[in-house]
Amino acid sequence: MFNSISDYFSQVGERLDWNGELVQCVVFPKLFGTAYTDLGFAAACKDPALSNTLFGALGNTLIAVFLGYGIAMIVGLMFAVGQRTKSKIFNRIVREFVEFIRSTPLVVQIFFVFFVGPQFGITLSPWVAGMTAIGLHYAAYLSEVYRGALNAVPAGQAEACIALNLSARRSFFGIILPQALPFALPGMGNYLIGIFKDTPMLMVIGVAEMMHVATAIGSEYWRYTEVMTIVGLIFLALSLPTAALLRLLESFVRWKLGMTR
Amino acid sequence: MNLISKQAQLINSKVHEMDEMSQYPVELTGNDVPMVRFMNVTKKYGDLTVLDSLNLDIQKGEMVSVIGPSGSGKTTVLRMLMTLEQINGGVIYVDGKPLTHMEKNGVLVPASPGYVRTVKGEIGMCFQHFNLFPHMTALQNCIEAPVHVLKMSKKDAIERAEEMLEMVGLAEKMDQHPIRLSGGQQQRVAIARALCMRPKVMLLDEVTSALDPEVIGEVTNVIKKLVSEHDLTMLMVTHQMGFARDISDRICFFYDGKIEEQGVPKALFDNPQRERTQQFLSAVKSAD
Repeated sequence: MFNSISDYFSQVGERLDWNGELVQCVVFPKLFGTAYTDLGFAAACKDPALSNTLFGALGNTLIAVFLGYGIAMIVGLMFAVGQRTKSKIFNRIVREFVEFIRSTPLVVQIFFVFFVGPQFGITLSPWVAGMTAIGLHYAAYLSEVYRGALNAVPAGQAEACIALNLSARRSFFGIILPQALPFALPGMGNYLIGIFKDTPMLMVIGVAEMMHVATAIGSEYWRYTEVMTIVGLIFLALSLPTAALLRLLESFVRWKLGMTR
Repeated sequence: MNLISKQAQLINSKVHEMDEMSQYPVELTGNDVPMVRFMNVTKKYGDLTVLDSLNLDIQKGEMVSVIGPSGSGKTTVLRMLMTLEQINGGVIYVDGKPLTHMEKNGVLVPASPGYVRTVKGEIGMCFQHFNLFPHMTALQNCIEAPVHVLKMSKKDAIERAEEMLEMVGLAEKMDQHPIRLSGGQQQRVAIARALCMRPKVMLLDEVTSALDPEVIGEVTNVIKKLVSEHDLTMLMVTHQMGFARDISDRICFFYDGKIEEQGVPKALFDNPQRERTQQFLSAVKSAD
């Protein structure tokens, strides 16, 4: 069919332009275009629609991962700590809230925040709605990772804190949390890769991440096989090294905390 | 009807409780105030009564050892004093001040966490499993509380910690993390860490039970040094009868949540009066 990859990418095809007329074009000029338009990076962040090439969209995907995971890490810690307070009623409320978030699909939550919010006067941009939904969803997952890790720290450590008269704040942030970190890292790495692979769900509300742009390109040229393959390969190429790096980070943290011989 | 009577019962018991509390002084005064006083202290886990209205005084500078079979409540005594366990009745006084309660309108009420922190600063504790902070070096373990609780400058805290580590004979190990120290060394760091807070009362909860036999000596030597050189009040739970006999001023034998017998070591070990004490001591002796 094609003699070489360069043949394939320079192949001339036909597509409909905005006036509905058939025009000649080069297949996939958009795969390797400049990362963002002339307006620059900052403008591209404000308006997701500005990113119209696959690699530009990869930038949006990564931004979504870092923002979403950042929210999830902090809110997840709040969820985990919220289940360890002295008030049993408060613990129960947080517990049920986490359970509720964990038990509903992410896509439904994204739709809900974006489309149902305006009914109650809360209108959010696709980015804000998407980050809220994906951040909360993964916060619920991460809170369980934190909860397990905090429980894995021996009870004697908290008792030593009481015996030394340390404040509750110092006990948690200075003694318990650092020791819980090595226990939490495997689960946290798991969900980092998870959130990366779940960002395509944001396309349903029009965040221009990779999948959104890929379907746009696919529908423009009526060829999905190539663009979807490339998207899959990009995900794979980023996930695999991340997983390896996370393992390295885990042993580094253990060493840094002096918890290896 | 039922609900009303239940309410009445609740109010009655509250009034009764307040009446009861008025029998406890809000503060112990006088010349011979004990360092620690347990007054009618009761501890229950659900229906199980672990300690049944315990009365125990520990004088200033006294070294008291607590012995007894497992499940007799001896560790619970230490844990209640360290506020690791809530008490279900009675009052504990430390240096004349109530620990578990605070004064309000001339009557004792359950203490607020902030108040407890001011009183329990007088108490230090060492544990069976050391409970050193594994992510800190020996020195960092020792300066953690002085810097964050006593608000000492880091320089002063390090000076004090070095002095204490020197005393337990670990000056050259102070930059090591606990994982690189032997059990005996870890326990000595734990003792130094507790001493850095300059407590008036020191609690030792089976400090040699988790150690290999050959390193028990290094820990008991440190404790002996403490007893002879420092003016500390000590309460020790132990299974080492010989050690307890050597260094204690008084031995308390616990059985079934009560003090079955107490006295000076010689009298209690050589001439126990109660049958259960005799049984326990002969069982321990035959095990050796």
